[in-house]
Amino acid sequence: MNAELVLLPILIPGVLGLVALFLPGRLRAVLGFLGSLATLAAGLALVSTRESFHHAWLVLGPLNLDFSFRVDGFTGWLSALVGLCAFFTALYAADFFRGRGGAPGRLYAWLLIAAAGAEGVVLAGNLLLLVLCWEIVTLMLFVLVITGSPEGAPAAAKAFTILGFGDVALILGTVLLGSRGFDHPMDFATLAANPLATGDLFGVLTFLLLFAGAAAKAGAVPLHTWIPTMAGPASPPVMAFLPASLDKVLGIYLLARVSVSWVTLTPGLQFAVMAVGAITILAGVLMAMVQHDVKRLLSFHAVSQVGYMVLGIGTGTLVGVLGGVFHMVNNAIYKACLFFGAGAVEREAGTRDLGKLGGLHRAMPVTFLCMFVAALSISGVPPLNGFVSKWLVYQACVVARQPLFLVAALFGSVLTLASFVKVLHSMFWGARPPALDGVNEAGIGMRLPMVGLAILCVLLGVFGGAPLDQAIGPVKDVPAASVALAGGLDAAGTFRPGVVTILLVIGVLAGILAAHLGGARARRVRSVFIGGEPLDRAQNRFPGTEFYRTVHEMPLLGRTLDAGEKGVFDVYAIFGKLGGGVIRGLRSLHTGVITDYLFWCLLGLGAVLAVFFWC
Amino acid sequence: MVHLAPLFVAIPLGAAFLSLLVKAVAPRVAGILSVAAAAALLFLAVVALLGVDSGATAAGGWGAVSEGGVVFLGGIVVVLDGLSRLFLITVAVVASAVVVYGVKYMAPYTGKPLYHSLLWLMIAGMNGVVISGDLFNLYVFLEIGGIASYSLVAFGTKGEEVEASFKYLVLGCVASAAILIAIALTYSATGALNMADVAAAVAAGKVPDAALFFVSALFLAGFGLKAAMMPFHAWLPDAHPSAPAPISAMLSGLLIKTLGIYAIVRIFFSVLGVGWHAQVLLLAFGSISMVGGVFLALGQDDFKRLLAYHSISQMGFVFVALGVNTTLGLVAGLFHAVNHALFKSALFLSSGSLERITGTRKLSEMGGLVRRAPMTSLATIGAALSISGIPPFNGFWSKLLIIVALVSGGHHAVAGIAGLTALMTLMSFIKVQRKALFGALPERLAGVREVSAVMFVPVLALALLCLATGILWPLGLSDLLDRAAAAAGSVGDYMGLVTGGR
Repeated sequence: MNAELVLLPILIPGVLGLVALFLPGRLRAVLGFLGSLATLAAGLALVSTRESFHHAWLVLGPLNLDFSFRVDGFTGWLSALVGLCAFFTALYAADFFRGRGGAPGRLYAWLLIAAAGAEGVVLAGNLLLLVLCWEIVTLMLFVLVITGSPEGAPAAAKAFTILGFGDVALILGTVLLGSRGFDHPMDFATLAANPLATGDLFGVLTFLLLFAGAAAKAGAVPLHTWIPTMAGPASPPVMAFLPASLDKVLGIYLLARVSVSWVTLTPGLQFAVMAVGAITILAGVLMAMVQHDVKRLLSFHAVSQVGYMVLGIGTGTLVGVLGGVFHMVNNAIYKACLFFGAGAVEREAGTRDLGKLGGLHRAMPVTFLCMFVAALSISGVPPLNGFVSKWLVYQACVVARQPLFLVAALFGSVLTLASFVKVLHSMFWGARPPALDGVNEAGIGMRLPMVGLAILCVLLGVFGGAPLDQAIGPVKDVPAASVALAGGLDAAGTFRPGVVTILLVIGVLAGILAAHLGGARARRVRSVFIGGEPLDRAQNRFPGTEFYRTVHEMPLLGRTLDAGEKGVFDVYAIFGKLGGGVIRGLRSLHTGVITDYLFWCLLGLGAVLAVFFWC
Repeated sequence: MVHLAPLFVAIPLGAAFLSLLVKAVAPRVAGILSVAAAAALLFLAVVALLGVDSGATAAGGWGAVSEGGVVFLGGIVVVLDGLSRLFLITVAVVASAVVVYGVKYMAPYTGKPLYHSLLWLMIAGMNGVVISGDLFNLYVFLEIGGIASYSLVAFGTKGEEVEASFKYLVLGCVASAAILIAIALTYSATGALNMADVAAAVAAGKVPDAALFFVSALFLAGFGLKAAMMPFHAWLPDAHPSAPAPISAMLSGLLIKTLGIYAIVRIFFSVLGVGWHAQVLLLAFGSISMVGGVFLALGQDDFKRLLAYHSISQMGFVFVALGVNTTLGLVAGLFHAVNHALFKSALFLSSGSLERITGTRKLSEMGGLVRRAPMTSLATIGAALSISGIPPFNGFWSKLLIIVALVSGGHHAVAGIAGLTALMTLMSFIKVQRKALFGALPERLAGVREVSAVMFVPVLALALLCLATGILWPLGLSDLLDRAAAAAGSVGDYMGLVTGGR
């Protein structure tokens, strides 16, 4: 095996993306499709290799930047996952923008460059190199959203600001981590060999900075607010590609690297990380409950799911790390599927308002089935993949003796299911509004990615042991991680996906049989007397948006959620207001009167003299 | 090579006088003359860049003077070392772009020969400061550059511009006075004006502490004002936006660096030595400048004023880097100064282009220009990404180096402030892009068209240089920077360079 092969998943989309920038629209789409397919292939070629490429380059004082890429059992699979997301997104986008004048801006070029950046983050063997690739992904998200539509500009700005905060924190943390006086301080091997102790202020600060970087990217509370804001103006392919799946993968990948190998967490810090995770789960899902816009709703679930990953990794237990990382992979799959489905419905039905949708399961059966599977998966219904990883996270809470966080995780899962019952009902069940009579199934280019992802949801769940052994175990050098499902690795309980699947299939079949035998299919239809007026189908609907009005009517919670919807807890808005105050203060000092300015100079000179003579 | 060094002053001075001469005969020739002079200067700078020898020479050539067994160089001492080389090439590159841009931009103005003459006088002053080997000549060139810039700020002759120029003049004179007093005191304490001799006297401990401190304080305040260090910055946000765009680019891109940063580096690092007092002051005032400047920039709607406040903030980065007083800090600070010269001049030039086509400087009245003026927008975006510190643009590297230097110097809090400032700079330029370049095109601007190639090519070239220096700096530029830092950072080397020729 050639070491240069490690570079392929980065170079292919990177170079093709740059080329695509200068191509006309149609060719760009073709290149986007082929390039992402090649990236997927290059990623898949890495899955069973353990290679590294190293080219020493720069030493910047206490930092070093080497072209160092490596692939181990875990990152090879991640590289393939990035390639898969890029490929499905390109495929989906080609159909999604068909007949609308093609993809806006240079979408495929940015998509490829973002994929190259994400591959770089995943495969980097040098922290500074990782940071560079990381910033490329940030920049590409901004570019994708701001060139996507004129309305996207404020959302893009907000995202770039919050992610920029995370990036600055990450860079500061990186520099602090590198300033400990080791040779090649940024090399992963050096970092892993000298884990940072978090007993002192330096250690805590360094970890918190790195954590902030990872949390902003992944979208953990309170740095999550860019995702819901972006959900409206950003197009579904963009949402599915970066904020919903890849940004989570990158953020959680970094968090796992940091807290598994580079930093030794004190119990206090572990608790803090777990608390962030638990709060993220609950805050995200509660906000999702009250949403009417399906993309915005999904984006709050995207936030909520990050909580499971952070919670799992925060426990510091073996099971928790495996569960958190596995959940990160699963989330990328089902969340991309959900955004694809929502986008398909929005495109065909012309609206994403849950109150105006309904009864589309006959018109869009494939979309419905895929979203159904993905919705069950995100809600943690066995035997789908979302359940397997959540199960591990629950186990981790038990092992770490954190009943409170366990309850939060379970409660979050229940609420997620409740929320998706509403989504499925509002979009696919119930009466179809007359406005949606002519709706057709989405095109083949949009259906294929959804179907592929839905099948993955099933496979990764039913055969959940295999990915754990093959891909997730290497994170902690566990050879046979699937024993965690069987109660090994200190896990408290047992879950056997195969047995459960068989039992479930039997159960469902028995249910169908019973329904048939019991004559449940015979429906009674009663005509309603409404004074001779004709029955108006549009008025006689029960839209899903009414499902959880009661949540709103709870005394404290309702008001909190309303405030959240208004952005009261949005760090972006809060710091915007604070900054505005500082700016007004500073501006009022600048009177434009020259004597004032001369006075400042005098004060400055006085200060300089004072330092020189009195200090 | 060293003997060619006086040409760096002679060419601009010649261009300045010739511009006035042709005014009477053929005013149109002034522009051609300007471009020719810029080409010559750029060629000379490239030659200087390729030459690696450093040394001193005496322009004027009225021979060496022997006095009590000590040989003094006669004439005007001109020094060419790594540090001056770095600034000479920067001045040449940015000035060339500005001159070309100005040919088209200044078309609606009257008195163009005067503009060219003043512009070249300013360049002569800057180059003179950079190659001057003695304090008094440094002061003279500082004043040449300064006075030319006062008049250029008022070049539009509108009320606002004249007022800005007046403020700039008054505060600039305060700085000049402080510097002149400091030079006089230095002379009285050491008996020398040649910087190498002053350095020798200081190194030998001949200067009493009180005198050294007082002189240092005056120099720091004086050059700090020229470099727009807070709280001496108040002239800048008025002066820089008021000037015509090419001049704004010169002022923000070059003048505050050659008259301020270069002089501080030369005088403190090569001559007086950086004590911990100066270190503390640079770190403190630098931090104030970073934060204060960027907050004020965030609140701005006027594009050029916003850029001017960012200059204060970015100079803060340079000050704190210098304040670390390590080689790494010096390299980082100089790198950022050079980068700032590139991206800030590009930004000021593109602000001029946008103002020209939209008729406004208010960001809130622009929008969607990326489709109307794609080249100018592309250059603006490139330079904006650079100042925001986005890899792989040059601004990212110099900010990273500054943070690294601060952390390894133990100034963690200042590193945090620098990180925060970098974030707010990013926010501010996101705002610029969001409001001016992307979003919806206002109806008023429906007929807007791209500026002519003469105006967008120089800006694009500067933006490309931001990208190129960001990607290629480990190859060549780092060596240049290292040599500049080595030249600046060693008092002994500088003395040897100048006195070795005796």
